[in-house]
Amino acid sequence: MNDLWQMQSFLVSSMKADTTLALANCAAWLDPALFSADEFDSDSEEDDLTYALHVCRACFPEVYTEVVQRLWRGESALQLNQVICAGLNRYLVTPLQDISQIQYGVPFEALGLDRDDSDFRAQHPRLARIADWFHSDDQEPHECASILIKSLAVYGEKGIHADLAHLLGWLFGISGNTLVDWTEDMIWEGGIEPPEWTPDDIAFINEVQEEAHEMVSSAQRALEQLEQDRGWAQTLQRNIRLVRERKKPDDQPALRWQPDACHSPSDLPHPDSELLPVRGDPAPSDGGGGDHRVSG
Amino acid sequence: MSTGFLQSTSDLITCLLQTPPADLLGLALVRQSTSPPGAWFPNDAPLEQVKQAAVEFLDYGNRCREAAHKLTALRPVPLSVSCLEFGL
Repeated sequence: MNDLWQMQSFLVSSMKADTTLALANCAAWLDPALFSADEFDSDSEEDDLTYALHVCRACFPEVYTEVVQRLWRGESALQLNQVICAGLNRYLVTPLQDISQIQYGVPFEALGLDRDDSDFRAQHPRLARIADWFHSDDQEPHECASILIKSLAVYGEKGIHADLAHLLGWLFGISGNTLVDWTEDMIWEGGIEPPEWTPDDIAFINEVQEEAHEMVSSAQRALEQLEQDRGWAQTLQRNIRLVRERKKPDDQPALRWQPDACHSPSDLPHPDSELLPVRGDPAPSDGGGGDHRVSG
Repeated sequence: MSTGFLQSTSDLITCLLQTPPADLLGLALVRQSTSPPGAWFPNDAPLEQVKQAAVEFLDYGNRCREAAHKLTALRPVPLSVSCLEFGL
């Protein structure tokens, strides 16, 4: 052992013997982000890693620990990037692809539709066909859809009626879930702040995202049903017409919806729900589970 | 007359010095390590144990910061003992 190594060995032994120095050594070993600056340059790759470490430290201590130990082992930036993404993705509904995304807040996927977009018809021809049924010179389509959703709500939160309500909510951006109602562009242009890396924001956006996926899956089931079952398509068109033909906005048209063939009558909350007036019930998506609109 | 309470700043210092060091797994691992020359940190501890130590250490740091924050916001407490160093 040469002199330098002997000196280093002596210093390490001395540090271990002194409680304060041992604690400082422990801090540098287990929690190095404690000593790094908390201001970051968003264009720097090095700062991406530092920022990622700070986020992991605040919200995902186990991920932070793993990354720190790999950092001490000298793993490459690419390897660390992959470990951080894999670690964070265990806690996220919308996965992170790269640590450079972390600075933009908790990732989310906006599933909304922009019917005014010139590409809408080309990108979503099946949905555009349903939207056309609502076209009217006298009434905004979303007003009609809103009345239909209310009439469907009494059939419960599962089954074709709920699926259809979700389809209308998605198509006209009135589901109550921001990630279902808005496209990514609308969110940015609307000035909605991205969710921050805090336990509360992470839990909230995960919940909203999960609900958004469920609602869009449900809406897609309804879309298939409308395409495959002519009876359901005719029912929807007839009810659209009944809503349009109201003499006054307060009139409550008697909307008829056929029973759900896949659900037993005992599933239905209303025994005579074939003929129901419009009520002020919440959309099925609301479900009493709270508002899933992301505030601006 | 001894009241059993702190009487002076030196009593306070003595009391604080008698506080045993926190029993942290990370400290134990640092002290037990037989890392080769050139290594500042333990590299022979099982990863799971290191993870456990780090999570405990982060929690310890948070509790220390919280305690320090509370101390900065302490309201004045009227003392019934003679401890002039803390007189208002």
